[in-house]
Amino acid sequence: MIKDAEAEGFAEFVASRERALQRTAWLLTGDWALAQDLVQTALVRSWPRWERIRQRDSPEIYVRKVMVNTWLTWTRRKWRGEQACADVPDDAAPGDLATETAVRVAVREALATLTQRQRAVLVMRVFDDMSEADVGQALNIAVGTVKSTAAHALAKLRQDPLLAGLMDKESL
Amino acid sequence: MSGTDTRLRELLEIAAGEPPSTVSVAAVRRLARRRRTLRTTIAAASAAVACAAVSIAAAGASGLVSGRPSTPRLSAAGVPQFYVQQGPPAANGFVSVSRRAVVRDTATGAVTATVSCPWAGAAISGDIAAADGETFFMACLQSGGSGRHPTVIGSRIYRFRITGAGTVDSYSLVAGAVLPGRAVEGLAAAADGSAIAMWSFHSLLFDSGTVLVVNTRTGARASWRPTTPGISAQDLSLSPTGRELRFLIFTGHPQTWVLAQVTQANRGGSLGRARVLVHVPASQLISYARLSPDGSLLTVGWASAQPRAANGEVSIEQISVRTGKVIRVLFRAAVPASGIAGYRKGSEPVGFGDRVSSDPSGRYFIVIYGNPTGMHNGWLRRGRLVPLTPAVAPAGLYETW
Repeated sequence: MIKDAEAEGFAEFVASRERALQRTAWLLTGDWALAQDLVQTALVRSWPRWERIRQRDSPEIYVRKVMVNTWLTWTRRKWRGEQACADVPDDAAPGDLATETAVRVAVREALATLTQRQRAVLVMRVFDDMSEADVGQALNIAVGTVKSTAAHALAKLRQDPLLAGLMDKESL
Repeated sequence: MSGTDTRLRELLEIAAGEPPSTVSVAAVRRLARRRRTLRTTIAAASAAVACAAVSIAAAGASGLVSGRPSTPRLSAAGVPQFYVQQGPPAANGFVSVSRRAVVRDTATGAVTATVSCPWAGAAISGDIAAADGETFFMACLQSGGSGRHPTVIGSRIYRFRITGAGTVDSYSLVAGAVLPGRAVEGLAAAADGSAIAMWSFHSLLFDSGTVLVVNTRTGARASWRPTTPGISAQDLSLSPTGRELRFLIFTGHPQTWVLAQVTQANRGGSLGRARVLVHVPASQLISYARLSPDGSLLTVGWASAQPRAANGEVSIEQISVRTGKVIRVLFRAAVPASGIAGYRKGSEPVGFGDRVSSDPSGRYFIVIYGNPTGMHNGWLRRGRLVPLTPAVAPAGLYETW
């Protein structure tokens, strides 16, 4: 049974980190509905073990590990069960919608060209700013493999003309 | 971090943007609890299966196995063993929402499971739709604002299955049924679960809406526009394979209801293309109209709306699609007007209502009828109502097999 203090700690963790986790999940899945389901599933899987997880240096790394591994399991399935539709929300979005949409489409398309492992390594290493050792631990691979996978992933992204163009620009 | 990494990170930051909604702790805990219960159930079921296998092997050895398939979802009388019950909804603009629904045992009325939206912060909107008696679909609505200005955040349609023990084994998001900025009402499902149909609104107020048909296997969607603004298609239903979309329209002149159908429901277009299947000459309020699985019979449920009537009446009749004639009255009952607040003889009867639903075979019907002071609740057996729980239901209760 999880004690009240641990439950509170878990609630605080979810409240403070769920948006960051969702953004990582979006970069992995390319779909907000799936991203939300992925985060929810990772948290559901982590909660029963929270007592042990919170004693670690960084519970977030553990949750991210669960999340990435859950996603890798989902992608290995031949039948995904559900396919979220590519809906554009009807309500107005704040900010420069045209630029954001262009970047979003370019990033999503470019990430889709990577293998699952390359994508996971790149998102964890570059977006989540995790160390090579942490990424290796999360994905159960050697640090050297993390380095080479990240290098290959970057090289592949550079070949994407749309994303390469955006990366070469000084600012958007 | 190198310059390339920094630039790529900036792009990833812009692309990821801000999540449209949050994942709540309550939803996570609810799912974790459900997962734990499911695991316990599976463990118990595995043990039971192992025991049963041993028993069957023993019975087979002694020549006692009949080989007849089991029908765990039907009671001894052939009636579906469990029904889904939704409490009286709260109005939210056009769309009625209810937080919770339950699964009850038809024979005992005992609650065997609770149905709730797996989407954090969402409520069940409209009626839950039954497919094959085991599989059900529900619309979950997230809305904001309050009072006179409700706003729609979005809807999602989930599929769930009721097990032979009356529990809900899982919820799954239906392909193509993530509907940002839209509210959903009048959900209907094909018997094989391959398609669902619904009214879709962009706003909870002042929106004539469109009919959406979703292929649940591919996620493909088709949109059907109403023919005449203000005259809406009611009581949507789909043929057993989801190929045809059917609906009721009150034509007004003459006083006739029409059951119409569009084929190739997955194409979309104008509901004006619909073919009239059967005319139902009646001034009554028809709340339910379903074709039998073979398409030969139309079952209608109506409540009277006669001016100057002292009492109301509800009736469930079957009409031949070929001749348009009533060939069977399944149920008829008077509804006393006494006790209805504000009612006086000679005025329009108010509040006589009925809700009807049938099992997938079209043989058994759940009927809830009465006036706001008390609704009778039961299923039909040879023209009589066998009480369901609660026998006297609050207005607005909905049930389906």
